[in-house]
Amino acid sequence: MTTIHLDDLRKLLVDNCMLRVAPEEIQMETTLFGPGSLGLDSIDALQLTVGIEKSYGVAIKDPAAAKEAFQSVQTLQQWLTRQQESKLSA
Amino acid sequence: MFDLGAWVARWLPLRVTRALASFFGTLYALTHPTRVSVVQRNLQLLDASHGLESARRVYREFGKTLADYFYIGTRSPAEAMKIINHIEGQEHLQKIHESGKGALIVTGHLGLFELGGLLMTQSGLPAAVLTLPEPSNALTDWRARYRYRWKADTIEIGTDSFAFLQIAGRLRQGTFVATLIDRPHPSDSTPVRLPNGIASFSAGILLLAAHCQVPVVPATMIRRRDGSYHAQVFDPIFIEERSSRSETLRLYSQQIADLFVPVLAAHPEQWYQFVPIASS
Repeated sequence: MTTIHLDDLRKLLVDNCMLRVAPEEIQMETTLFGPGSLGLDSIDALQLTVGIEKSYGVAIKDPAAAKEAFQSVQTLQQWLTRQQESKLSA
Repeated sequence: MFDLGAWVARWLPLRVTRALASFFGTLYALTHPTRVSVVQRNLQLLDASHGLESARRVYREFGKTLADYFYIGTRSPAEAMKIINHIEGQEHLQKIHESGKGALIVTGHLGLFELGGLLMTQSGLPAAVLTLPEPSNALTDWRARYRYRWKADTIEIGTDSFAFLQIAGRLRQGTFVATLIDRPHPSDSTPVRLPNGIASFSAGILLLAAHCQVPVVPATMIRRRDGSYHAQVFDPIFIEERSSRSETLRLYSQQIADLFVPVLAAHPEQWYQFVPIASS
C-alpha cells in the first residue's frame, strides 16, 4: 500500500503553486479551487500537474479526471494513491 | 449583426465595404470618447505623442479590418488567401511541422490576426485558435464555424482551470495553437516594458509550451497600404524554465514584446487594443 502523507502534498502545493496561505494551514479537507479554497488558478493547475508528473511519474491528461482529483487535498491524495497502486500492479 | 456583415461582404466590392466600415468606425469613435481615451492611453505606452486623432484612427482601421474579416469569410480559402501577398518566415512553421511537433503561435490584437489560421491550414498545418467566450454563445458558435471553413478549430478557454489539458493534448498531437498574448487576464498578468510604460500580458500559456516541449512562435498579420496583408513569422522561441514561474514569464513575455514593438510602432493604427492594458 502506497502512502502519501499530508506533508508530501503540502510540499507539492508549496513547490508548484503561488499559495496565499501558510503551508501548515493546508489540511486534508482544504479545497484547491473556488471560494474558501487555496485559491489556485489555471496556471497553478498547470504547474501542479507538471509537479505531479515529476514527483510521482503520473500524467494527468483528461480534464474531467483532473477536475475530480483536484477538488481537495484529500481527493488529490486518493487519486495519487490509486495511480501509484495501479503503477505498482502493472 | 455578424450575419448582416457577411451578407454585405458577399455582395458589395471590398473597397466599398472598407469605405463603409471605415466611416462607421469613425462615427463610433466620435460618439464614444471614453472608449477612444482608453485606446489613446494604450497607444501612449508606445509613444507619448499619440493623441485622440491616433486613437480615432484605430477605430477607422478596425472598420476596414472587419470588412476584410467578412470578405475572407465569404470567399473560398484559395480566394481568401490572395489577400495575403507577402509571407515572411513561413519556413519556421514548416520546419516545426516536419519535426512532428506542434507549436504555440503567439500574436497580438494587431491587424487581421484571424488570417493566421487561414495561412496555416492552407499551408497544410493543423491549426486551432484559442478564444475566450464571446458575449453570447451564438457569436462564439458563429466565429468557430467561420474558422472551421478553413479547417481551423476553435478551443474555447472559459473559466475551466483545466482547459490547458485539452490544449496540451493538441500541442502534443502536432497542432499549431494560436493565441493572443497582449492583454491581461484576471488570473494571468505579466508586466512587460513597452517604450513608454508598462503593460500587462497574459503569458501563462508560455509555461504550457515549455511543459509540452513545443516552441513558441511569435507572428503578426498587418494590412499594407495597398490593402493586402503581410504575414511575419518570427524565429521560434524555446521556453526554458527559470528559477521561478514569474521570472520565466517575465523573461519570455518581454522577449515577445520586444519583437512586437517595432511592428506596433510602425502600425499603431492597427493595434486593436480596446481595453486598458497599462500595468497599475
